[in-house]
Amino acid sequence: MTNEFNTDEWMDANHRLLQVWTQQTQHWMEQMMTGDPTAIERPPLFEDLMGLSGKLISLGDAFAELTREIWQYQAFFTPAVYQMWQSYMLEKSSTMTNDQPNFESAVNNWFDYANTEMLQLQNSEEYLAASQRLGQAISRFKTCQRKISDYLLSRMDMPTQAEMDSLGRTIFDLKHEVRRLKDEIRSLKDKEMKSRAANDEPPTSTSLKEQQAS
Amino acid sequence: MNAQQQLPKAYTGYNPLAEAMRQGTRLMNAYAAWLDLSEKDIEIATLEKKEVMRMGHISLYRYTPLVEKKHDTPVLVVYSQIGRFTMLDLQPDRSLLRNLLNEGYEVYLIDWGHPGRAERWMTFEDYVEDCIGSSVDFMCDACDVDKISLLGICEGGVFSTCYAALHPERIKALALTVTPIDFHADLDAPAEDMQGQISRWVQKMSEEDIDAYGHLPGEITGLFFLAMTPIKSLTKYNWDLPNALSGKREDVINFFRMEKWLADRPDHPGEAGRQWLMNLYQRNELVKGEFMIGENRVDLTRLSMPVLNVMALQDHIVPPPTSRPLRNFVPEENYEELEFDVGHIGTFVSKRACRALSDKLADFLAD
Repeated sequence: MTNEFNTDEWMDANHRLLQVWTQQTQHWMEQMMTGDPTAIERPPLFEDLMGLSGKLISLGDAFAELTREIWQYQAFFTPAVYQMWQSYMLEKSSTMTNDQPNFESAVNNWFDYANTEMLQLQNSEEYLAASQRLGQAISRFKTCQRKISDYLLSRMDMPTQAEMDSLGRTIFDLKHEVRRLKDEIRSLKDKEMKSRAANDEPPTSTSLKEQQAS
Repeated sequence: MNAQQQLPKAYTGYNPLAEAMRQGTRLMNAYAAWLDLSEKDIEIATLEKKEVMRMGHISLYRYTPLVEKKHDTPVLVVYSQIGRFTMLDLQPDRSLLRNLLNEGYEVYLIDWGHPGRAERWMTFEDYVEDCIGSSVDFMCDACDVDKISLLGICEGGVFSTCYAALHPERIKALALTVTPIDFHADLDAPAEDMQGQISRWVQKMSEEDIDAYGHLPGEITGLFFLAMTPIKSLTKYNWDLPNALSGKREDVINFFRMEKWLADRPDHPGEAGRQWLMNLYQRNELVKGEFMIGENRVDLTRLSMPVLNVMALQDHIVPPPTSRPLRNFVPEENYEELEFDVGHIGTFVSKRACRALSDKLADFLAD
């Protein structure tokens, strides 16, 4: 039943996308017929629509995976807290007396106990594995999200995040290069000063250039 | 003998109405004190300072002297990118910076600001060589000295250590507070000691996690810290609130000042974050002598200046075992350790620890 429903939905979505593509093709051909010279540069691409639908499907998958991991992460804690409460009551029952100081300190004792137990739990291999899976699911979802936004931005002739990142990287690489060159010039100047002092010669304008060239 | 049977016996003296009245009165008093507060009352980092150099979104500040200058060597304070330097001047009676100024030091500080997506590719090389390097050059020119003193805090301590190891000739003294050096030293610490959690968590991270965001979001870093005291974090803003506020005006102000600092958690540039988590936390390259700043290897044995290593015994973010290994690299006659029985932040915001730290630093950094 569910599979059938999903198939119907998928068929419907693709049918709609196909319709949009057909309309775009029709529109493009009309532009070509009316003599718009720039239209030839912008043909409708079937890949455009399918590319987007593929990315949307990936996002849906990533969302489903993320939801599943969140549930599993939460499910990890619920029984653990209940067990913690039970073991706390068993442990404390032997030491409890009628002159228990007050409700506030009793609750604080429970919180302290739960905090320590929770720390143990958070350091267990099971927890670390569950949080790792959750982290991976979040990362995958974010990556799918970014691919869609990059796709849409590129369709609108706007710089994508990936392009901006690449530009940013170039700037930082250039900054590093400039700094290295500055360091090199500084050390050459130092050398020049030292050799000048040693030889007690008047400074020459060419010697620095020669050293830089070498 | 089950839980339900034990409860009534245990709390026979409990009067819910009286308890609710008591806590309610505290909260009402705190609320009244809160209503009476203005934005000015909870201002933090109020010391007067001037921006003397700007490197993109990063600023170098010079603090306005409070007394006549007594020391020729200026001090550069390098805070972590995780969190804000404002904690060093949280309020007048808990201000490490004010204490140093009162001792006659010329104090400079690098404010790493709030990096955006454009800083994604900022690396340790940029932090160490460009920012600290340029600041040291500026300070040497401005104060007419050849060397300066460095005070590094947490991740800022790692930046400072790297700079001092690469350029020992420019550093007169190096003071480090709550700075990790051996990132694996706490991996096997028992969980109940609350140590080694960050190391264990980070071992499970992958580079894709950083790529997905492009940076380390401040909110997520904050969540990591909250998860280190899981139940206490859950009860902080409800059950524990009446006690934290207690109805006194001063307590309410302190609470809000601290919250203001906690809420200001900048994102960490992605590439530097990758080096922090992968090269240092996962591969522990600093202590192995394999950590690279650009094309230069950081060799800790080159720390030839006097070094003061300050640790917090209750610190579960940078536990003392991760800081202590620095002693293996610095000649004994140049190395000093100082320990406080407080947590990571307590080193600076506990009135007593802050005073003791300031006194020790004033002594250590003296010409």
